[in-house]
This record gives sequence, C-alpha cells and structure tokens, in this order.
Amino acid sequence: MRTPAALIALLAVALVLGGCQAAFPPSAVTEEGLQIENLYVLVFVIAAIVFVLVEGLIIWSVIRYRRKPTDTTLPAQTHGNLVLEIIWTAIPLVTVVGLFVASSQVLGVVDARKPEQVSVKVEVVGYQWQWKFAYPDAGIEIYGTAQNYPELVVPIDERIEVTLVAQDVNHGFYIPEFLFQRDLVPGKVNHFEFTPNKLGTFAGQCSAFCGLLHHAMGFTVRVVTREEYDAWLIEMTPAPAPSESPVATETDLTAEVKEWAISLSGASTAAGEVTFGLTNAGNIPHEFIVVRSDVDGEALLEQVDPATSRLDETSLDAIGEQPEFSPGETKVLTLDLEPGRYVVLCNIAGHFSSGMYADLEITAN
Amino acid sequence: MATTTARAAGLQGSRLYDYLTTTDHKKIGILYTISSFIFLAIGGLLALGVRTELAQPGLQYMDESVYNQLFTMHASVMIFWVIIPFLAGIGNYIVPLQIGAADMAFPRINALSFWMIPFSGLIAASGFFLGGAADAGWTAYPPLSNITYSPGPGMNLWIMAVILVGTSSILGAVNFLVTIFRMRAPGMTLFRMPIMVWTIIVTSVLVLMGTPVLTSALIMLFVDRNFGGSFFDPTTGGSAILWQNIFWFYSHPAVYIMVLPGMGVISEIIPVFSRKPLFGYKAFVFATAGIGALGFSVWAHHMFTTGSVFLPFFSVMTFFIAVPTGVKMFNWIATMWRGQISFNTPMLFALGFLSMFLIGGINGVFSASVPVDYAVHATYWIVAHIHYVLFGGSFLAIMAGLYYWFPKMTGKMLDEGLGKLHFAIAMIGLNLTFLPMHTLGLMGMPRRIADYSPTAGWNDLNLAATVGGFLVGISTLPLLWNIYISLRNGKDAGPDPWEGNTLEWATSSPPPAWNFDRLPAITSERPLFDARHGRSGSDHA
Repeated sequence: MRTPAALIALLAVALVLGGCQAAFPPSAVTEEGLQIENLYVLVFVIAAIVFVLVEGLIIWSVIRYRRKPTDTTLPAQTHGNLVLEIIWTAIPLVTVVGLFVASSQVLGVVDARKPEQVSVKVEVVGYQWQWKFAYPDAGIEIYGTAQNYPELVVPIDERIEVTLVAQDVNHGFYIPEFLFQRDLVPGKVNHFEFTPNKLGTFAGQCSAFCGLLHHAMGFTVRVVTREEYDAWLIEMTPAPAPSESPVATETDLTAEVKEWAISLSGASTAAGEVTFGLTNAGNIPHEFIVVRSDVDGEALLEQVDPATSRLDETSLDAIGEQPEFSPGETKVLTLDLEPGRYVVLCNIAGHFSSGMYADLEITAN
Repeated sequence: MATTTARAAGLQGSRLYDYLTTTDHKKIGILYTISSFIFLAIGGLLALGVRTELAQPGLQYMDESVYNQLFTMHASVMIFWVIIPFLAGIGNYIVPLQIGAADMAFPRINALSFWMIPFSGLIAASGFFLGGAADAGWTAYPPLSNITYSPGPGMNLWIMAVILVGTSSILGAVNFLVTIFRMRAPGMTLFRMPIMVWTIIVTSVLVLMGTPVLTSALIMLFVDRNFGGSFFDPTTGGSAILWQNIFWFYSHPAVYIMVLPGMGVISEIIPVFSRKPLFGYKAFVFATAGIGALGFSVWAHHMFTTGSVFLPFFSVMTFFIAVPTGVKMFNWIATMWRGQISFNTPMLFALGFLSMFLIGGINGVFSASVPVDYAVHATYWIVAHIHYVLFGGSFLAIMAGLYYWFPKMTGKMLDEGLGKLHFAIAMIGLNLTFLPMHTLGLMGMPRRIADYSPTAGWNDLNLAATVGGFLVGISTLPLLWNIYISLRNGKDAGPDPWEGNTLEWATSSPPPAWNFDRLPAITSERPLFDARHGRSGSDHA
C-alpha cells in the first residue's frame, strides 16, 4: 500500500509544482510588465481561493449528501436563507470592487504617457504580413520578412514610446514577456510607452488575426545597454547620399508603385530591351511583375484566387520581376520584351486586386 | 405527375412527411435537436481539423487558407448552428410543457424559425464548395472582412447565413415571450414558473435587443463589400472600430444567450436529483435578469487592447457581472447541501457544468482586469476561457438536458452505463484539450495561428490539446450508440422517471399532440412535488 500512496503523493507534488509554473505568465522584462505580473499574481491568488472553496463545496456536497439506502424520507425542504444570500452576494461584490481598484492603479502606470521622460521614439507599422520598425529621429527603417523577422533595438532603463500604425487591416503588437499587447487599428494611431529593465532578446508576434500569413508576423525586441544602442544606431544609420545614387541609367519607362496603383510613364514602348525605372512611392513594400497577357489588367482581376488574394503565378506568363522593395527605394529592371500586350502588377496578396496594375503595349520596331 | 400519387399514397402519411410539415412544438424541438447534432458533427470535425494541424509545428495537412476557413467556420457553426439552436430546441420542447400550454403561441412561425436554421447553415457551409468558406474569423473584423482582403464568395455567404439565423432567433424569441406571457396554465403565476422558463424569458429579451443590432452590422458589412459602402472602411471615412462595437454589442450578450438557458437546465436538474427545492428561487430569477441587464454593458471588454475603449466603465461592469453568476453558483451548491443526491447521468453532467463553468467564470474575472487582459487577450488563454464557458458551460448543460428530457421526448430511458462512459470521456477530453491552452496563452501563443515555431516550447501542450480534442470527439460515440439502442430497446420511461417537479412530468412520455389531458393544481413552482408529497413546506421564501 505504501508504494501507490507514495506515487500518488509524488504525482500530486509534481502536478502542483508544474501547475504553478504553468499558471503564471513569464517574468516581465519591463517596469510596466512587472506591475501587470504582480497584479496577475494577486488576481490568481484570489481566483485560486475562490476555485478551491467552491470546487471544495461541490465535492463535499456530492460526497457528504449522496443518496443512501436509508434515505426513505425527504430531506428538509429549505427554500432559501436571506442572510446567507446577502452574505454571498456582498462578499463577491466587495472582492471585485477591490480587484477593480487594484487594476485601475496598475492601469494608470501601464497606460501612462510621459512625453518629457521619453528618450527613444519608435514607429511600428503593421501590414500584411510583416512589420516596419522606424526610428524617425535617427532616420532608420527596418523592414521584416517572413524569413527574416525584424528586430526592434532599445536601450535598457530608458522610456521608449511606441507609435502603432496599421497599413491595411488590424494587427496586434504583442510581446509575451512584456505581458502586453496593443492593437494596430487602421484609421487610428495608437501609442504606448515602456521601460525595459532586462537585457536580452524577446520574441513577439502579431496577436490580432490579419489573414493568410498571420502566423508569420513575428519580430524580436532586443534590449541592450546605452553604449551598445549608440553603436547600433551608427551602424544602422543610412550612409550619406552620394554613395547611394548609382550611375543614372537611361530608362525607357518609369513606374511609380504605391497603394494602390501603378503608374507608368507611357502605355506603350518599342520592343527589344526595355528598361523600367521603378520607385516605391508608397508606405509598404511592393513588387513589380511584368506579365505577358492576352487580356488587360481589369480582365485579369477575375483570375485572382480568393483564397490567397493573389494571382497564381504558375499560370502566368511572367517575363520578369523586381521582387519586394521598400518604400522610398528605386530599382532598375531591364527585360527583353517581344511585341504584344502586357500587364505590370504587384502580386503581393491583396495588392493586385486593390488596383496595383497597369496595361502596357510593346510595339514592333 | 407520377410522384403526386406516390406522395398521396406513401409520403403524405409517412413519419418523414409528418416531421417536414409539422407545427407541433415537440416535433419542432426534436427537429432542432437533430439539426444541431448534424451541425455538431460538422463543427466538431472542423475543430479536429484545426487541432490536427496544430498537433505539431509546421504545416502538415493544409495551407493557411484552409486553416483559416476551418477555425472561422468551427466557431460560426458551433455558435450559430449548434449551441443556440440546441438550446432553442430544448426550449421549444420543454417550455410549453412546463407552463402547461398546448403548443407555442405561433406554431407556423415556430416551424419557420426552425427551417431557417438548416437552410442558413447550408448557405454558410456551401462556401467550402464554391471557392472557399468565410475565413476572416467568426468575428469578421473589417478591414480584413472587406472585399479587398476577403474577396471570395465565402464571406458574402457567411453574412447572408448569419442574417438568416439571426432572423430565426428573433422570430423564436417573440414566440417564446408571447407563449410564456399569454399561455400559462391557470395558477402558473410568474413566480411559480420553472427557472428554465425564466431563463428563456431573459434570453429572448437579449435576443430581441441584441440580434437586430448584429443584423444591421451585417447588412452594413454586406453593403461595404458589394456596393462600395464605407461604414467600416477607414480609407473612405468609415471606422473599423465601429464594427467591433456593434458586433460585440450583440456578441457579448450572445454568450449569455448561450449560457442562461443552460443555467436554466441545470436549475431544473439539481433540485430533482437532490430531492430539494432550488435554494433562493427569487434570488435566482433576479440574478438571471441581472446578468441579462449587465450583459449589455460589458461588450467593449473584447476591445480593451484597441486603445478606443472607455476602460473604467467596461472594466467595472465586467467585474460586476461576476457577482450574479457567483450568486447562482452558491444557490446550486446550497440546493445540494443536505440533500439526497443521486448520480444519474443528467446529474453528472450538471455537476460537470458546475465545476467546469466555474473555471470559465473565474478566468472571466482575469480579463475584466484591463492590465491582465493586455497580457492574455487574443492568446490561447482566451480560447481556453471561451471553451470553459461554452463547452464546460453551455454544452455540458445541453448534454445534461438531453439525458434528462430524452425519456420525455421518446418514452425510452437512455442507458446509464453508456451515459456515464460518455461523461467520463468527455470530461477527461475537455480538460486535456482546454486546460493546457491557459498555459499556451500565458507563454505567448496567439489564437488563430496556423503554425508555430518548433522552438517556441509549445509542442507538448499543443499535442496534449489535440489528443484531448480527439477524446472529446470519441466521447460522442457512446452517446450516439446509446441513443440508437435506447430508441430500439430502451426501458420504458413512464410519465415521470426522475420524480420530477415540473409540469412536463405530469403527462405521458412522449406527450400527446395536445400535451395534457389534465393538469395538476399549480400552487408553487413544484406542482408535481406538491402532488406527490402534499403542499407542506413547499412554498418558497
């Protein structure tokens, strides 16, 4: 009999220990998160007391008052007890009012705006399906991709202000170890401030469902010392202008791509080597694909796969493309084009059907 | 035509034709139950599809597009075509009987309400065969649900289907209210009505106040999508947040629409199997009304993280709504206290409801605290919460009601052994599925993701949840087998197999088309108890 009892005891201890860890959020890495963590513990302790009490009463009643063969007469038909009912209405009421007060105090800290104390401002732009992190004061912009998540670098123990902008649909900026998330809502600019107090790299990801590749909207936040942060700023700051502009290329056509249009400098050009000068004049990355097509762009819209909001590229006669490039970037694309009808378009999900295409005719020499 | 004679000769007299054309509230109640079971199978398979994909990291069985359709349609089917109609079906069968009426007030409208349900469900599900079902989540937040980001036909079909199912709910609510207020038997005063009937009243009021608001939101979304409206499109002056406000103005009370009748079922079962009256009948009625009233002032707690909510109001109201719920919990326990409890399957499911809904209620208090909500919102923690409410709460209550009233509906007893097997597997499966989700959420797993990193540390708990999900699926097999064999060879139930308290047990099982040959005197909320034991001590405080 000893062994099963010991086993059960061991199992119970393991469950309680495992349960303890499983029932709490990760340790917070910001000052605001720490407040939320403490509040969570308070709520959890009260919840655990209520749970054990009520579940205990249920189990006790079930065991103690199970029907026995000797129960030949009816039990006392108690219809209620006013005093008891007032007590068990009042106690929960007082408890939740207390929790509300405690929550409001923490909320005051978590949602506080202290512009005079902010030392670093970052802008987070969410779009289907990645992030742009911008440091307007330093002129730094970082674009993430599904393969290469962007990293937000911030100095420890300094107040950071985050501005949240949604480019297309709702997104959620969520870092579990901050114990915090805030939505990015189209048509509205959101803010929050935080003070990281632990060095390290912390994973985050989109928490508001945003369509096909919602799960691929990951990012990281790296908290570094002030010295490392300054060094990082220098490393990331774009080089001065001269080295950036390559030798000007003679272009046959220029194309401006943005949300949600592509404007070509001409509707036709002569066959042969055609050089496109591309500018991303929008706020999010775009691509530029040249497709040979018997029908015009508008007719091509009907071929968009509703499941992916894109054209199936295997069924397209794509002659060449400029893959995703960032806002403000210019690119040059040179292709050998035969006479015929073409459509240029951006095939990032949703972009083509939103109007990012233009018709192009290549004429014989 | 040849079929005309065939119909006249065969079909018209057949049971199938009878059910297809019936306006009898009992047959309609059974139709609701059958339809809900079919959609339960569909919604359950969709859930198992989701769980199968999430069992391990990587996309093994489907792409994101299919995954998004699965979880969107799982939630939609379970809410609109399983839980709400299941409860409407129980209400349809039981309410006229419990108030001593011969039928619902508007039998033809009653039939119409029912037939809109399978019809609308098929419209929503047809998206799977017409190029993709709705895939913007059951919450359908614009701009994601706009034509730009959800161009497929699924979203339009979903909107039309939900408008139809909402209309069915509205018609049903009017029917219930008129029936209950106009057709009660002599002596059945309001405060002698069974609690089940009270919960149907409050639910019907919630439906009448909330569902038209949802319908208007859906029409606006439909106009945005198809005719270039700009209600919810921020690029043309609309507001994405507006949708969230209108949607949750219905969809939060909808949680109570799905839970209150379940509480009604439980409040019928616990007194019968404890051989005691419900403790604090009037307090229970007021708590039900209180939940209904408060239910309309908490909707924005779904939006705490949007930065567009008047936080103190919605936070404190959400805290407050825990109080009437707590009162009910104590009332149920006090009903069992010093009772003589027997553990037939209906009572087991009722006890399952108490212990599981308790979890769903308690973790609701966590999300009432705005800062804690910032930490757990939109994670698997919330998925766990809603399933402890809707599965641990509503669904276990529906099962309790099914085991309790099956003998009344069919005249046959269900097998106790199979019932207990069903209960045991369901409880293990439920907890194995949803308990780990709390931890996953705290660890940072967002809801509605098709895939996760193998290094995130979420593998084991996801696998556990998937195993649990399949257990839940398996648990329905003993139930279906039980129904099948009991209908064929079940023990005869007789009019009152449980020593019930309320009027439905005063007639034969199943009752005749006109319900009652004669009614007992109604001088309390337990007319049958009074008839059995005399009136002594039966009046409530």
